[in-house]
Amino acid sequence: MRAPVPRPEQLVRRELLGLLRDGLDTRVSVISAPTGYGKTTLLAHWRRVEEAELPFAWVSLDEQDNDPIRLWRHIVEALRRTLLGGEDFGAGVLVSMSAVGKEFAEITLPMLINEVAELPHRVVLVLDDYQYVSAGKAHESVAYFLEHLPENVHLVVSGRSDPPLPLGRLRATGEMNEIRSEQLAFTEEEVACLLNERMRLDIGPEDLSVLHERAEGWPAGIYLASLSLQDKEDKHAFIEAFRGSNRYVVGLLGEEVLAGLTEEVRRFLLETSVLRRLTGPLCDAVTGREGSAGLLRELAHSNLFVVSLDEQGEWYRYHHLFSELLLYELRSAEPELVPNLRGRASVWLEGEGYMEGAIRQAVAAADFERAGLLIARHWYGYAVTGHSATVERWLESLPDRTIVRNAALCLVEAWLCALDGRREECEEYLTLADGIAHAGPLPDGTASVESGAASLRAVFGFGGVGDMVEAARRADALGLDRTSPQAPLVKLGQGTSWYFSGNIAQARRALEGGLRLTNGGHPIVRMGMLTLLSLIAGDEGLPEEAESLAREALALVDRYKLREIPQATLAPIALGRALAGRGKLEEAQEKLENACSARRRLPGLSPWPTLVGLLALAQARAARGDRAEARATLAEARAILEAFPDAGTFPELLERQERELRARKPQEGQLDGELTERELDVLRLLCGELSTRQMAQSLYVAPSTVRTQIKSIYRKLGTSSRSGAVEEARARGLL
Amino acid sequence: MKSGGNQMMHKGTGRVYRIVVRSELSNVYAVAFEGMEMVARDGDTVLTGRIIDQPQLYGILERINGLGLELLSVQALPDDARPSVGKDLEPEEPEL
Repeated sequence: MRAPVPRPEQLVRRELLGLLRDGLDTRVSVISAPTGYGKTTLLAHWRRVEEAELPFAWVSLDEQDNDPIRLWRHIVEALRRTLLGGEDFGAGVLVSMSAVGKEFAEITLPMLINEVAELPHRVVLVLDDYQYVSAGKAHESVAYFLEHLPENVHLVVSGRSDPPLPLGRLRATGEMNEIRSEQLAFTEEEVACLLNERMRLDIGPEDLSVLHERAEGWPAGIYLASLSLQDKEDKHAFIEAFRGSNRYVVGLLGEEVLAGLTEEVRRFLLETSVLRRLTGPLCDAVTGREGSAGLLRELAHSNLFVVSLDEQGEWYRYHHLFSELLLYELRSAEPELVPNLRGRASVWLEGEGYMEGAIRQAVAAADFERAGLLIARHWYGYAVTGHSATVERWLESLPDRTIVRNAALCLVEAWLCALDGRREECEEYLTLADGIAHAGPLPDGTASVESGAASLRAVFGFGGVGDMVEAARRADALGLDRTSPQAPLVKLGQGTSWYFSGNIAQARRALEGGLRLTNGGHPIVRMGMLTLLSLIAGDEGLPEEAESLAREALALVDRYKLREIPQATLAPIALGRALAGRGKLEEAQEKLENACSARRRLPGLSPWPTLVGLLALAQARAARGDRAEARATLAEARAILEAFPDAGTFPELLERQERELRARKPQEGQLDGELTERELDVLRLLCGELSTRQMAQSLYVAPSTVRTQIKSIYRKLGTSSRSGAVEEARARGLL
Repeated sequence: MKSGGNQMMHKGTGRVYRIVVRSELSNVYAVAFEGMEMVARDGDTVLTGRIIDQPQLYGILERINGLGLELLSVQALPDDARPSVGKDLEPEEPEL
């Protein structure tokens, strides 16, 4: 993720740094050259030189960044790190990312672009190893960003192949700085500087020239040659032999370098080549030796192909070309050893809590059973702390057949789908899990497949409120063990189902008992419980308590970054409802509108919290005199109830609100004036997706003019929001 | 494969390709191109083998790029060609 640490022996390439600096006058720099041309090193040096005055947001991409959401989350985090006290930067963007799904480019990116444009300074955004991005969607999102690049951003895209981005126009207008292998190749002077000044190898000018020509200035080749030359008595002869060979430079010299090492070191390098990142204890575990930490440090000093990843010298990686050479060597010499080494790595990584690596190694060793077991064992801790996307990715690395044959994994899939609002898929996985025999408790401690499925049904209630109550009963009967990690979930299911079926006293007991069981852990579960308790307090006429419980739930959402989980919109709904109860209508309405619109985008979410939100929103709108909007909101709730007829207390609540609204008189003093022609123009634009600024542009007026007109429209239509205005205008036949 | 774009593929069996890169690769690298026959001579390396579909082909090309190798040509061989390298199989291919 972060930039690698430059090393003193590396050549600092002043000319190239100058090219990069000059390129800051353009919009984008593209660094495009094969591996081993020193692209990352150059950028890391550049960053070091400029950083004091010009912040760098650095993202090292990998294969997983084909997921545009993950890619942009990394970009937001990198930008955030360039800001002092920038914890809030992009927070809204991160929330909307998970909610919008397919509309990513239309909604989320413009938000981010605006936010970046408002940063008080210039920033260089580096996307290193861009070749790993191969998916169209991720490219599209970067292309969109590029087309709307804020003035204060200089974008750097670096990779092994030309990025498939629309660069033509930028190139044509001189707004793009391009650095390619031609510039990145070492000059003869640089070869001389590296070999003679840095490494003191004392090579004559002719030999230098031969070396330069044979390696074609390829820095990786020259570095390897310099390593091989270190212990050569007759350097001239070595270079002559090199000239006479047609072999692949890295292969030839790399093997030469390996041959020059002691057997111990060679063995160490080969055996640890299965690791993506290295640290002493991990290498000890994989190789079965001791003192790997010291050896790594030594190697990092003497060998440019060992890259240090932190200033403390704890983590390293091998240069890509070198690690491939090692791994191929190992795989051709001792293929049977590779899965064993990976297995040992996986065990160590699991023990140290590096689940990502543990699972990746198991997958790489094709030990899908172990990978599946690791996921089934650890998913819960990730999912309840807001990392369900991580679990999702792990599952994607398994073959489908592994998942559909494993009840525990099907259940994990079902939970993720439920949290994400993919109701139909969730049902499919539950059916699958149901059909697979699985004796005894699941790897995560759940009592059985049946009890896990029942908990899920009780918490989300996709099958209706009656089904929820029944599921909660089953889950409780099946999973009695209070120490089971699932016990709080069972309580949450009970509390939820009882609350929605009108059994308030029992619901409260279950939730309060459940809170004690969570013992400070299980943030998502606790968030759910606090939310429901807040709803209960509100119903009982205790608005202060309702607000404080909702705020507690929301604090969990913030602390664990649960905002990215659609189901977590529960908490703002509870808060909005509590605020309405305290008469803070405007604030309440805003919270509820946001939460409801986030949930509206994912119709597969559990319908019950959505209904709570809609009813509270209608109430707040009605109380503010926005009858048209209140009516529309209730109609939306009505439509949900039609799809979910087994709805506990909801039909009654809805009917009551509908009655009250009909009885309510229009607010006095409201002027229903006619809209002017100009206002009608703006009104038509309000139906679309344009921002105020964009509307102003398309009408050739100042944004402030549009804002005044919008205010006037709202006043004349008796609403206070864009959606309300559109709704009311439609009702009056103005559109 | 979900949609079109496979009209050049033969159902299930794929097609034999010959890929030529500059410089000679040692046998160590054969594992990088598993399933392809690898022959290094006269300063080039020739990889020949049956490739199931385009994603597999691009995967191999990406591996070649990852090693910093210079790609000289990629050629789909006639249907009756066998995935082996021999002197009998030497039509001059156009450079890519």
